[in-house]
Amino acid sequence: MGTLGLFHRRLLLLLAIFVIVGFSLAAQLGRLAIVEGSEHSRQTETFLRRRMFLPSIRGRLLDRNGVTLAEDRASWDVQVEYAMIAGRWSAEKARAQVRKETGANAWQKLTREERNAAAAARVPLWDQKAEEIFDAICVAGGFDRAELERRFDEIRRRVAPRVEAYRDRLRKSEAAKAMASGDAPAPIAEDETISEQEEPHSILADVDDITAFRFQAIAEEEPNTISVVPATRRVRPWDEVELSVERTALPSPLRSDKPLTIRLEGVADHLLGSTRTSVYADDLKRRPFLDEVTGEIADLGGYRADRDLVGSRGMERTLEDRLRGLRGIVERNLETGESTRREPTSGEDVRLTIDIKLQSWVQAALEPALGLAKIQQWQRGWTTEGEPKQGALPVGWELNGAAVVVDIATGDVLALVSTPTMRESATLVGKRRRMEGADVNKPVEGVYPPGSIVKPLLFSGAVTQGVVPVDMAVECKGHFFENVTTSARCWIWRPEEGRSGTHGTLAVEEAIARSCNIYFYTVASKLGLEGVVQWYRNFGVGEPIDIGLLVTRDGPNGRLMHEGESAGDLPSAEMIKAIRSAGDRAAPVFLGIGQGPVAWTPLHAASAYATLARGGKVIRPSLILDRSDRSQVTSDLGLNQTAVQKALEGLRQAVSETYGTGNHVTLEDGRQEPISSVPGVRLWAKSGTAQAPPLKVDNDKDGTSDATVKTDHAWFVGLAGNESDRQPRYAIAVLIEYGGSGGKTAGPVAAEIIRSLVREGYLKGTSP
Amino acid sequence: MSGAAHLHASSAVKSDGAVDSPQGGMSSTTLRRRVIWSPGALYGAQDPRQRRKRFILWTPAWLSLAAGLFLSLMGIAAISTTRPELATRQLAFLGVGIAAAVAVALPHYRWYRRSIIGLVIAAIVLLIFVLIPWVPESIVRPRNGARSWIALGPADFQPSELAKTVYILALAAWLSSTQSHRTLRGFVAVLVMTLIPIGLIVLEPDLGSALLFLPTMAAMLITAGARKRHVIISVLLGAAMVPIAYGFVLKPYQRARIDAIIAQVSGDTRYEKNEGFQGWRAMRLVGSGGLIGVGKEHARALVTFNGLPEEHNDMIFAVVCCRWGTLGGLAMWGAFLVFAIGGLATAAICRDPFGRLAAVGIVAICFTQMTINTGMTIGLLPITGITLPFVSYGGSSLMATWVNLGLLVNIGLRRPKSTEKSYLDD
Repeated sequence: MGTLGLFHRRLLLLLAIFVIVGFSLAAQLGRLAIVEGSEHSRQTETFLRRRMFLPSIRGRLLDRNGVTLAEDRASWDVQVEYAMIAGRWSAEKARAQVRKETGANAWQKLTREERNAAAAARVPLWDQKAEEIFDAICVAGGFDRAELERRFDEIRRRVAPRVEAYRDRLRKSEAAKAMASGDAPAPIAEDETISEQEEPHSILADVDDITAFRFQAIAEEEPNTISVVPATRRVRPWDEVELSVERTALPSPLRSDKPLTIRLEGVADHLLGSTRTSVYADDLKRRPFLDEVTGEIADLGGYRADRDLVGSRGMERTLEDRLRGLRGIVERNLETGESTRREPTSGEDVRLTIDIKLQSWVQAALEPALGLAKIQQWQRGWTTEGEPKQGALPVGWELNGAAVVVDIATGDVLALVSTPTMRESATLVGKRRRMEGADVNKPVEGVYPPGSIVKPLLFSGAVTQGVVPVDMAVECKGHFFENVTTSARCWIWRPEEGRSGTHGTLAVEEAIARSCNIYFYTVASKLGLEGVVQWYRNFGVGEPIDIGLLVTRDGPNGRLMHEGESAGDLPSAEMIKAIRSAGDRAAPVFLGIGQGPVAWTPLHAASAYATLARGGKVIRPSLILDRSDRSQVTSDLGLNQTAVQKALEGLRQAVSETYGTGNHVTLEDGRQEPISSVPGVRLWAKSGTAQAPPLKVDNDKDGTSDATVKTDHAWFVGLAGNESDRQPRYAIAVLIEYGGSGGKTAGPVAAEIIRSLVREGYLKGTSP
Repeated sequence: MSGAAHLHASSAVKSDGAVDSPQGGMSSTTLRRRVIWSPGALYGAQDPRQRRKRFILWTPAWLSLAAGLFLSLMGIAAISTTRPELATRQLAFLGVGIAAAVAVALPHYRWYRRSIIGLVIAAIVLLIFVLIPWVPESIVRPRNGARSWIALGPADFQPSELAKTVYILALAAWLSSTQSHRTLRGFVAVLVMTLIPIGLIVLEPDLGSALLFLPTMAAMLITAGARKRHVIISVLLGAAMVPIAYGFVLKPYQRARIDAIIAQVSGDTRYEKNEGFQGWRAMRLVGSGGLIGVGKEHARALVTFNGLPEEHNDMIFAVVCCRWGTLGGLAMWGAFLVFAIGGLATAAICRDPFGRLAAVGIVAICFTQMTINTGMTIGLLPITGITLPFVSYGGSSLMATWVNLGLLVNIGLRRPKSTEKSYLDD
């Protein structure tokens, strides 16, 4: 180096720097291409594949005979580009047109002013075109321009806050950055659009093929204006049913030779349930479509974060995993144009135990329009002077209720009705919905005190336990405790109302038939508090039955929360202790007539009666036909069979003998008319009139109660079979909320259900 | 001139002492007769008096020319990967560029030195012209928000390209006519002069082009014999400025880019979807090429469907690496190194201080531009809008690069009229 001048040494230094820089660059290239090459390659290759997912079809819900109750049906949505809705379409079109005419290069060379001026000249033409398209949309859709504007307005109102929210978010983030750095916040791009401003929006949903074709013609004539996109909807073909109900067998005030046409809405909608399209965090956690971390497909049947069809109530919710299908995939290689296709897998069709026709008839029986689910004078009767007796609710008051029919041999639930239906109550305001219990699926979620219908059950239990002889006779003196005449009385003994008759000495059959309270206070006192509670538990109270509507979640304090089906109420161990320590003599005996701290659902009642009919063998009722434990006895209460026979005899007498509480109604002219007199059908049944919490009355229907009324829930629970073999086949439970007398209000509804069972061929009967 | 050279020489000897002097023992009285040091391998130890031809045929600048031609053709091939129609246009631009290079090479480069005042004035006027707000957009049309182009009918012209070349010539003229840059004041004065074009170009704003001036200046100062300590101190000061600029001068979006590049170099994919999008796309495409590349068809598909912006222009190196792999990238860098060696050798042989420094400047600016461009493509540097010389699509950029190459060849082909002696040879 000694021979080199400064300049040349510096040149060599420069060259050395160049070489070092070159090597650094080469090192990074080597790292990218050789060391990390495969990962980068994998990443870039993903952009060559475009995946499209094919929607799957949700499985159908079918009734026991294969009738479709809920299915996906293809339809069409009509969407309009947001540019048209926002009114910027003409300007965009004009600009694009001028640009195309000018040529991309020449366009580049124009100034902004020149471009704007050139485009503005074309706008009126495109405005005219837009008007033509709007008119065509109105013609195809069958509405006027005002309606179209209203729909556009709705979309604009929906999008505007989102744009504002997005800009707000940007501003906040810029402000936060500025705060951190101490600079003035950077201005945000005010003309930046969010995706909603670039997407088409639906102005017309669920249109049929013919309408869709009309819109398609507009779409093809002028691209980028409207689009007709396929949409699937969950439809319930039996949601609306029109029935012609024979009235010849109704109680004579309602009787007519002309059948009544009843239009039912929302048939079985509580039990079938509904679907939603918004996806919750829980769904994503339970079954995500894409893996949260990698973004790869985790489960073709999983949920997408933005929008998906999710069962949200009823069987749609509980059968979700069976009904849901798997998406299909079309993967196209953009480089080669080749594509692979994997077809979607439809969800499973699930058959329910419901007979949709029977379900409809049962719903019709509960429709106030027919007259049975209404306050009628015959339910209260007349005084001996012929004056109509007064009641808590006015005659004609419409009543809500629940009914359930269970096949005793299989446990199949043939009908499960709640009124009002979801659909009938859809127009009610929220508060009124709650007052009506409209969202409650009453036969499985509604919890009511059982009242007298528990009497035959507790008797069988007490005999089985050995605390009561099967032939025990009890003398009814009107009140149970020796010197107490104001409490624990029989219903027949009301000296203050001038009724001071008693039942006298009764054996169990007559005690059931006459629904003597004193007899069953005695039974309960022999069983003791724990004994009564245990027998309630044995007959299913305290646990949800899980007919297929039950959803169990972890609740607070480690307790399980039940949704879709209720457990009913029984006194807890603490409560039993409290009753004991308070020396409360009345509470245990009240439980003997189904009052006090006990409550159950109509399904519990039907199931308990079915268990009694099977002599104590328990079969779980269910709504799903292909369940594994269908017809299987899951446990045996080991009931004393003599006691069961006597209890059934009591139930038969209750409807068949004139002294039975479920035997007849007395009409204005003093005539007695049987509650159920279906020829060829044998009925074992018990009425129940259970003290209910005060009813809030909302006369002006504004959602706030104007008064409270004290009245009773009406039960009628029984077993029905053919007269020929005297074998109980179906357990039926009817509850009319605030219906007053069980026999006189709920009884005729049960009778109508039995006639429906005959009509649908479940019971032979003999034609009158 | 010779008087000035004398003065320089004596002071150089004084300041640098005998250690720096190649002919260590010679007395200063022989300076006038001495020839520059010439590598025997290339020239032979001939007495310059026997070689009075003013034009020579062999020059290492031919190496640079060959490298430039190779890079340009490779660029056209790379452009044709995704934009065959633009590749044809680029071929035409190359023809124009070569013609311009020939035109620039024809007059003796000293002519440029004589005209340097006029050139500087012209360049500054044009730089200011594009900044004047009321100049209509039909003449100065903003591109990507920067007013850096003048519309000239068929081709557009970027005054900053002219400014780069003029700056090199002006600085070469300055450094070869004074030795003041060996003092602190003179060193700082050069720095301040350099800030004039930088400031005007930053205002456009064209940060990428502005970035080229300081490294070029540094290279020219180093070879012009600036004090090592000045250079080192100013580099350290510059490095110290970086965090200050980050904290107080840069706009948030620029800071975000810096954050993104730091994350990117360390393999943190956090910014891949936003600030670092372009950088990541480019990096991944570079990586996808592997050792030997994926070939034209597949490279086209990858580049297109990965949505790499400016793939024919600023990001062309990503296409090169994707299509021809690491080998392609190395070949390209190799060609740039050959270009640099040719240019530096031209400078080494040249006896004229102006020609030497101009040659160094031409090499430095090209190499700097290459470093920034390929550095940002492979994820080492933040994204700035800057082309890859010779390779990127664009008439203005290609023309400017070839004009510089023409100047280099011009310098290589000429012999100084007199055997001027510079202090640098001592």
